[in-house]
Amino acid sequence: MLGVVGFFIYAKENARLFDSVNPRYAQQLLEIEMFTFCSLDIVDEKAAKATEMFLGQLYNDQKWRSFGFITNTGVRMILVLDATSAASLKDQEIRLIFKRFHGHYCNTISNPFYEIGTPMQSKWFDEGIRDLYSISE
Amino acid sequence: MDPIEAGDWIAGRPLQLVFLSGLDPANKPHHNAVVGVFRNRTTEKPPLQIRVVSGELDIPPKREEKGFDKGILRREWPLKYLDKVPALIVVFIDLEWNHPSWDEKKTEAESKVASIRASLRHGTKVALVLIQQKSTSVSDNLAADRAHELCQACALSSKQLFILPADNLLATQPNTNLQSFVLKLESAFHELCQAFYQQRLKTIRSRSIPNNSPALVVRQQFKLAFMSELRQDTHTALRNYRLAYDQCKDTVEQWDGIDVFEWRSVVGLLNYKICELYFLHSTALEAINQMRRHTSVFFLSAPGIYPTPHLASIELLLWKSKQCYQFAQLFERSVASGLSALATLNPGTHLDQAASIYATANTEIAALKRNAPQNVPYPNPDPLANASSTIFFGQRPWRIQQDGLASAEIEAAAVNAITQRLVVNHEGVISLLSAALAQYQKYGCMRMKKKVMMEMANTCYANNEIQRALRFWGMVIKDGALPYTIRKDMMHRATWAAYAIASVQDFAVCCMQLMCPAYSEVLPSDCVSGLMSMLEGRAPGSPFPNDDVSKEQLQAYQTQWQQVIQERPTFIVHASKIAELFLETRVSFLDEQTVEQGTKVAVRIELLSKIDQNMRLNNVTVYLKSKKFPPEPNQTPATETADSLLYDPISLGNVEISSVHPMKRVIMLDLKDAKQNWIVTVTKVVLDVGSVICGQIEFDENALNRNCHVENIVGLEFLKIGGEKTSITLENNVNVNCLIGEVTSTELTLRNTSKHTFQNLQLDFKRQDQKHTEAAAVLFVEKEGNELKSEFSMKICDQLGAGEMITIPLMFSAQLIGDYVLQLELNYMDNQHVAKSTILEVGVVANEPFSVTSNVMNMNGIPMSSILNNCEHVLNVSIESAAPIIINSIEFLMADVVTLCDTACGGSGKNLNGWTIHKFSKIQINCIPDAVNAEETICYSAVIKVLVKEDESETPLGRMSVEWRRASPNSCPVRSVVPLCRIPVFPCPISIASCIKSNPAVVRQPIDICFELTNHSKEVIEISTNFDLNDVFMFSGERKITLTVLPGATRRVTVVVMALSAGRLNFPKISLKSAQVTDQILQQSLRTLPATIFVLPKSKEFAQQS
Repeated sequence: MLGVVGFFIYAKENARLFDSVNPRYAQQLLEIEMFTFCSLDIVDEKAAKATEMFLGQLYNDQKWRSFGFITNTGVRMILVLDATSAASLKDQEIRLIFKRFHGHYCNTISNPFYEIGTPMQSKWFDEGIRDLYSISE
Repeated sequence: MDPIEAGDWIAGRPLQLVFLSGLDPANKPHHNAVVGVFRNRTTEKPPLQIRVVSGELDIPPKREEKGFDKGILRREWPLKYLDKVPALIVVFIDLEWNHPSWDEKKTEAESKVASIRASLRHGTKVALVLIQQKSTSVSDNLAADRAHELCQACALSSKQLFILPADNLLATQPNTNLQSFVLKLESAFHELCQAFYQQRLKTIRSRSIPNNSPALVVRQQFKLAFMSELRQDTHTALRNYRLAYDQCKDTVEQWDGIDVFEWRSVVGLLNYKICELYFLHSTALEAINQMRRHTSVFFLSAPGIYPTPHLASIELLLWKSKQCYQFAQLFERSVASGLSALATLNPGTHLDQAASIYATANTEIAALKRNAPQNVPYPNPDPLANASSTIFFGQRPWRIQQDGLASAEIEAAAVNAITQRLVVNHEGVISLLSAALAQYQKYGCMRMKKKVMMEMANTCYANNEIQRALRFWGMVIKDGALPYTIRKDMMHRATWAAYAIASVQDFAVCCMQLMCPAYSEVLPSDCVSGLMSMLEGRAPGSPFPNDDVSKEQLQAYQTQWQQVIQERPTFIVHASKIAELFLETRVSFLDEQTVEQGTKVAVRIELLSKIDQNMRLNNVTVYLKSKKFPPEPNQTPATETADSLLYDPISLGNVEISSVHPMKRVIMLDLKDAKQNWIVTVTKVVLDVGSVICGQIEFDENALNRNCHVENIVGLEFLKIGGEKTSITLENNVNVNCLIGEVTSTELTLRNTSKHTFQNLQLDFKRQDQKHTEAAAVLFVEKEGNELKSEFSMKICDQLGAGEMITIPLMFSAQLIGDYVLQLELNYMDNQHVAKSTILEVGVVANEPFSVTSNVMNMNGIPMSSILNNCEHVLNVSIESAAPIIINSIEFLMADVVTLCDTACGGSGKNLNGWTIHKFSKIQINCIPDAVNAEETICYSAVIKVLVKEDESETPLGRMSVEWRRASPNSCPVRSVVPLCRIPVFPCPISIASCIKSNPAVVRQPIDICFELTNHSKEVIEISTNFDLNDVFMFSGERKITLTVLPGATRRVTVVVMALSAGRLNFPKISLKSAQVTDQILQQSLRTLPATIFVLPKSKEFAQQS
């Protein structure tokens, strides 16, 4: 169990495009939301000097850890992990999760009916995320 | 039990303890001076802690080994080396080398040293300093002997004996000398101290540890580390601290359950020291990583079950909070001394973490308190009485000198005492959060700041400071970027809180926000009816009817509300301090951007409601203001009032609005007293609501037109006050299309639009006042004048009555092409004899009348890119007209080197013998006028010959003057001079011309053709000609001739040919060859010959003759 808690996508100006929280952690939604919100502060700081898309660990507290990813068009992706889970993911594994997440994102925005910059609602995307949750368990 | 504090010693860097004995500063002034200099410590001096002692030394004896001595770190141990056991004792004696009673003095010194040495236990070093008054009066030998003698007597090495010359101690500038002596002494003392600590380190390291007992290993490593720190070897110290820490980490599983608190205290201390040293070594990242490791290893460890599971859990939380806080303190101290922190790595996150753990601890403490048995007396004797005087660091005070647990009663009493002493400390959390807030603010982490504010609100709420909590909530909810789930949660809490304390103001603010559709969709509430009830003087019902609240509780709230409502409180809601409101206000001005002073302008007010229910507003008041713009930067209140003007508020009376019936009104505002260049804005709109409880909703400048795109605003958000409008205007817009150079005439019609008569109207054109540079080049023709003038002034009339019109002619000639505006200044006097002026604008579009292109062709009509000197060519000038014009005449104004040849006989002379070429430099063609329409082209040609002396890359051919006029009646003729083309001219040493003597040439009749070769060079040219035979002509004459042409001379070659057919035939060809002239030039010169010859068929007349 690797404790993937949730995935979030924000536009360049930090408007939220997508959010998904692992149903296992639905009870702690508020905390996760607040934690992700705070992580954006670090994304803002790291985005300016990022040399690659993966931003590394953003923020951590007693319960959660967040990792960041920024696409070439400035879309920010945040992955929240459970800091209390026994096994900790290696950097390489987190990169892999982001790669797949980014792939799902690209597939979703390839939909010609999707308007860039609006919240994303796609069952394919949701399924992809569900896969990511199930793989990481 | 609260986490154990290490004590004050941990705060600073450890210093080497040195005792000075034998000094009497009270009675001896020179001793006092020495003590003063020693006591003056600065950072660059050796790290010594110097203490002056007198009389008996109070050095602790070696500790007796006792039983029940189980623990990890002795609490007093670091203090022993910081306070009690000196590294060095320095004995000061006033003694001269040649003291009369030297021996007695020596014995006295010996006994002093011996007595000090007797009281020492830990190998403290001893040094002897002789204070001498007359250092120079004794020979070196004697001094060396006596020094040796003294060292022997006192059993000191020569390095432990020092002399302090005291003869100038009390001089006028004693400090400079004394300071350098003392500095030398201090360095020597420091070296002796280093030796002492080295020796102590050896002793400690040599102690064997039975069974590798973890506690003893940790103790030994800690001692080694601390000694190394005293030795100022922080790197070794860090290594030893880390070894101790690793020992704790490795043995965490083996910790005795009842000693977990003690172990944890030690681990905390070690972590603190490690991080401190990392920061000291400027390896902040290492420190942060150490803290991360510490967090991941010890924060997640099991809290244990001693003294009770609940207490153990609380103790762990408090310890964790303390760890974070202490690290944040270290971090902050490091930042203060120059470390640069980032948003990702700053003390704020640790303070925040400390606060959140502390808050959890508070929750647990509150739970413990709730469940604890009431009315249990505090135990006597107090088991926690010795909390600050335990032997070991982190030891339980009720277990001092006990091996293992105390008796059951004492343990129970201890649990009782701890439970009673624990208090919920919300203030502690708030102070931690405030510190975190300041850090986040400093590092620009605005979202984390919001989070901290939210936590502060929650803590205040838990601490029953509802008003403060509501204030924080209000500040956080204002942020539109916050996720709705969080805002919703906060709104829910805030509304309940406001309802519970029956705060009219806060309840109104919460309800007005909840009434927005964004909230009402995700958080169903009864706030509309609640707000309405409150305004009507009834106690509002539960804001969230779905929430589970007991009836009694609700009843209590209702009663409280009834009481509050009886007091008839009022409230004001500032819309700009709230992110969303169920009402929106739009204000705009329905006028031009710039309005005249003293006019009336229309102001549009629109009120939109987002709720379906009707909302009654008792009054809507609009406040307007005009002010200077832009405002001056450092304005005082006095100037501010002078630079602005508040209009009387406009009341719109009562209105009723709902989502389907918004209020839209237009009011008129008289802009009296406002000054020119001020701007007029709506400053605020105030809505009065409520019948019993009255309130106001105030929309200030920030809240007006909120959530509305600028393009959706009907009209303008502000107006600018301009000057008075001009009273004389141009009746019609004048736009003149003209050609460059032509004199254009137009008419201006002026109308007096005012109600007064104006006098002395005068129209001026001033070059320097023009907006466009092209306009400044326009030339004017005055009335009945015949001169072009660059400026003009015209008197129009003496008087122009109200509403009257006058037409004035205007004639001008544009000199530059373009689309521009002529600004004419109209000056006049008004009825009060005040001079006024206004600018009249006349638009001009000026174009070229025609465009001229010219090129040079050879005799055969082929365009040439370069020409030969001394040869005849045809100049061809095309004039493309841009407008219908009539060309009256043209004139070639050729350059000096260009000669125009007479074209009367087809370009070549008729008489070969008397070959005359009419040379002109100027030719005027008057046989026209040629009428040319727009976009038509007319072409003029002339034969030219260029006579250039030197090689020039390009020769300008000259200019052409064209006299033209517009093809319309009464137009004036214009003479335009245009440049002709430039062409490269190559030197031609020999030119060739041809001439047909038999004119006309007739078929089967002999035709005499004469080729004339002219030498233009200054050398003799030998040239051979070869006549090419062909089928078209019969030939008679010499076919090949070699000629010698002298400089400037002309030789002719005459051939007779007979054309065998009629028509246009190729001209008989001749080829040239010369040793002096290149073939290329010869070829080029041959091209000047005609290409064809026209041969007539034989007429009958001719045939008969022949």
